[in-house]
Amino acid sequence: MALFAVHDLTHFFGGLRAVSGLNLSLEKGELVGLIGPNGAGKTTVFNLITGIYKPAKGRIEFLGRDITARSPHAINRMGIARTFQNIRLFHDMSIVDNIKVAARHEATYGIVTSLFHPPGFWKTEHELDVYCRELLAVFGLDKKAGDRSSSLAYGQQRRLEIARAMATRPSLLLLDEPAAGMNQSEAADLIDTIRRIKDTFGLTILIIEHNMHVIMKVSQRIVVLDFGETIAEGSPDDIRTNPKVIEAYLGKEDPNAA
Amino acid sequence: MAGTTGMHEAMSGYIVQQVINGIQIGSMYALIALGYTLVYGIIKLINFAHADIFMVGAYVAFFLVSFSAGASPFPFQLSILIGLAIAYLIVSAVFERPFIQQVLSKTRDTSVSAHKKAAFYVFQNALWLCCLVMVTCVTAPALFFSSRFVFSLRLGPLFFPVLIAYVMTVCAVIGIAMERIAYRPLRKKRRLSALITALGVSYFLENFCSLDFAFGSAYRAFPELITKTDIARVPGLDVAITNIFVINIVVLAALLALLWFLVEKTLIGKQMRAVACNRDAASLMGIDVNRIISFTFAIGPALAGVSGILYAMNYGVLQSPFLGFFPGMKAFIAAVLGGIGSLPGAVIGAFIMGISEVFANSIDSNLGFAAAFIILIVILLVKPTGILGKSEQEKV
Amino acid sequence: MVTQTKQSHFSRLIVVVIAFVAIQTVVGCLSGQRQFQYYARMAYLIEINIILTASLALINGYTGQFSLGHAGFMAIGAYTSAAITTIMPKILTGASLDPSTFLGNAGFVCSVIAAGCVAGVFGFIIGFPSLRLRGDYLAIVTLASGEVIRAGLRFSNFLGGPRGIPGIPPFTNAAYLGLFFVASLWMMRNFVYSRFGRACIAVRDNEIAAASMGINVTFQKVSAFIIGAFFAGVAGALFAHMSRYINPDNFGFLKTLDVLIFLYIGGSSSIAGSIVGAGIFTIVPEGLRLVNLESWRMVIYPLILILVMRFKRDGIMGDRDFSFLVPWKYKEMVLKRTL
Repeated sequence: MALFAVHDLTHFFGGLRAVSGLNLSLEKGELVGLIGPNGAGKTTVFNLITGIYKPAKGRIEFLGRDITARSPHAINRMGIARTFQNIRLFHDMSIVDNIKVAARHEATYGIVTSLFHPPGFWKTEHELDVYCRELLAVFGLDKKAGDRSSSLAYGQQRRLEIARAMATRPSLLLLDEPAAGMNQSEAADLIDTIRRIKDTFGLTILIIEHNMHVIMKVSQRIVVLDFGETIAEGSPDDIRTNPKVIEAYLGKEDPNAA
Repeated sequence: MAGTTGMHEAMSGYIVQQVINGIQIGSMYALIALGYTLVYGIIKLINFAHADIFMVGAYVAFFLVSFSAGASPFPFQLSILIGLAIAYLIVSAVFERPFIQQVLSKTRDTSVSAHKKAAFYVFQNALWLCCLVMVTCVTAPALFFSSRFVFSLRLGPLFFPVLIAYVMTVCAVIGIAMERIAYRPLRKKRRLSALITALGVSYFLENFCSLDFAFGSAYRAFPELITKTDIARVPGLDVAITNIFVINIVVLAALLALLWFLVEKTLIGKQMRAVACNRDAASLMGIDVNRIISFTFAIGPALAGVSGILYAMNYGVLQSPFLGFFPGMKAFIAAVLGGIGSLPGAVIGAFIMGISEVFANSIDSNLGFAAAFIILIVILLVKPTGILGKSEQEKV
Repeated sequence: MVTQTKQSHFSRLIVVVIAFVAIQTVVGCLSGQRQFQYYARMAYLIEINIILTASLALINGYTGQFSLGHAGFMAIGAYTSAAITTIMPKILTGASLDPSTFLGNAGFVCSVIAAGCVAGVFGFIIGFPSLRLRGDYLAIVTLASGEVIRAGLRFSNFLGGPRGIPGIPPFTNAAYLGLFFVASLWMMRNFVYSRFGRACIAVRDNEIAAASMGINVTFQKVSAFIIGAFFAGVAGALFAHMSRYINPDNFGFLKTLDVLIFLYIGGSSSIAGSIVGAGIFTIVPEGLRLVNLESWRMVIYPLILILVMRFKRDGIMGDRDFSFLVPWKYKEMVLKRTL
């Protein structure tokens, strides 16, 4: 049974049909890429999956349960985490605090404990701190843990977002354009990191990306969206040569041109 | 048999009368609510100080009417304050001219030493202040003498329209000045800061106007502009329609018609709608966003000022400069009820608020505000976007 | 980055505590004498205002909401505790018995805690439906609910109606006030430096991201609201037993505005900000009164508020806390850079 499946997903923004009858399914351990021209509806699909928008039609299933139109925090607690196309870090907080906020599983004490700080409190906080710094080390960000998150370079901020998503212990990770704004070597690092965390943590990953190099290298399977509909699906090689995909990105050849 | 029919008639007559009273109050709220919704639509800010412009309108009307009735001398302090506001707008506009900006930009020249920069900065601001004072010395007396002249004429039936025009202009000036001084610098910052500032401006206006050289906090009895008479009586029911009621309705209708024409049929109205929709896109299309926002802050407060005149006429007394608090809150609830950002919604909401307030007051005079609060809670629980509102979806 | 040793942190903390106890004792002794009563009352008022402002900081500062009805919670706290210590004994034993001997000190402490709890319940009632909505709407709902509470109190004749409750026993003295003051600030400080405090700041910073990371945003906002209401109730109870007479008009929108000014000018993102704001602006009116400028207070305050919003949004203290307020263990963790 698929880990995650989307059936006939449809969503409108006013009169515009952003997503149209989308069907998608992911097996456990898969790494699937989601590509398409700008405005194809990819981030909207993410927003629908994570509960930020409620779909007009369709069903979303995760681990056998219907998660359509649930609230974002409930969906996260079930094991789906995401990053954002426009970075949404907590800029007022330090880097390690960004992770701590997400690391819900490590700190489970209640409100009464937080009001009175009994002896066990700081022990828990210390363990949380250690866990968060270890996670930051995986992403190479532990050296600056106490600095404000807004002081990081752009590429590092993107990595921090992924680290933060990982702190919620997801089984399905949605990455929205993680390589945006990265140069070649940064992108290569990113590919390594993605492969590494996938193997280490046993993740299933769905990536939106425009950087073809990254997506071709990292995905096992690619789904192509245009105007909210799937126009192609297959292995990276299939997609590379698929005429419909080429047309969507580059346009059709003009028979009248010289 | 006859007795029961009589009671039934009296009951329905009572209800109709209350509805009529509610519509009268509602017209007043409608004008304030329109201002709230216009400003919120354009810069997504609840202008808490809007209710205080309403108050200023009521007081200005009071002073003008008292003067022309011969009851008290024309207030000089008022002209100073309004003259100052006009002077501020003039001086700001002049200082924004490119030529002046070029001269002043010497401070940005990095080759000038720090000392010279500081001195120049001080000089700039001193110059600005001097200009402000000088222009006020011109505008304040000009305003004083011209207003005194106009209002000592025997205007007859023209008096009321002249009063409305004058109050609208004064309130528009205050609105534009308010936006420029308090809200414009905060446009790029967090919305919460603007809200807090709006609260500060409201508090400031209320207390400043309570000072003795402004309006003072004494109770003011509004002289009767028009003797309240019944114009019509519905035959059979015990319902009276007063001339005051008619005036409220006519003023509202006229202003609504003008507003509708402005927003729907003129270019500037279209620009307003564009800015309300998407500010950045509008500025990229060549619309001067600052001008449009200033314009909105002229129209909204102007309407509130007229509502102030109606308030003074309807109630006959001005309690204190804090009188804007409750009508302002009710008008804002009306705007939310109708759908914030929607002009017809604001009017509909205002009528609903007016009618429910009148009915609640007839049960117990303390219940008027409770009714407003209950309506607010109900609408926020059931349909937060309001009757005619559209739900905004945040782009993620 | 400032490094600090455990010794210097704790020695600073001990100095502060000793200074506070000393001041409190001096004030307490002086309060018995007539010529110093004014100053004693001023000191008590500062402490009560600090608790009140810090409670609002939890809602408006750390969670980034805009609640305009805080005086309502103070009113509920004041009336609850006054009802327990003043009205209830009269009902139970008849009007002849002196309330302060009836319930004694234990009764007073219970009444203060009860005041906080009842205020917290109201915090839930008001907060739960309205915190699900957009921030702007919360302002109007809380504004209106503050007025409704006041109107309700005017209407309630068994609570004294518009004339209020006179003759409240003066339980608030230096000892009790010092105790509640330290306890309240300590608990609020703890809340801030825990995962709940972090979650509140995350909600303030970016609600959508917070929700996507598993934080139940509404729960977080409502929790902050309830705890803020609780401590406002405590402040109200202490106020009632200091001023010995309360009526609904003590707790109108003007009171809320006062607290908002303490908060935003002092610094909304830190407890130190509440201390500074409340401290300064409780004293300022008295200073103005001395130079006969009292009527200008209400004009100057909002001007300062507007200027602060324009130039230094975070207020005087920004988001820095006083060093002794930050828990040592927390500093240890922040200073540790390598594993």
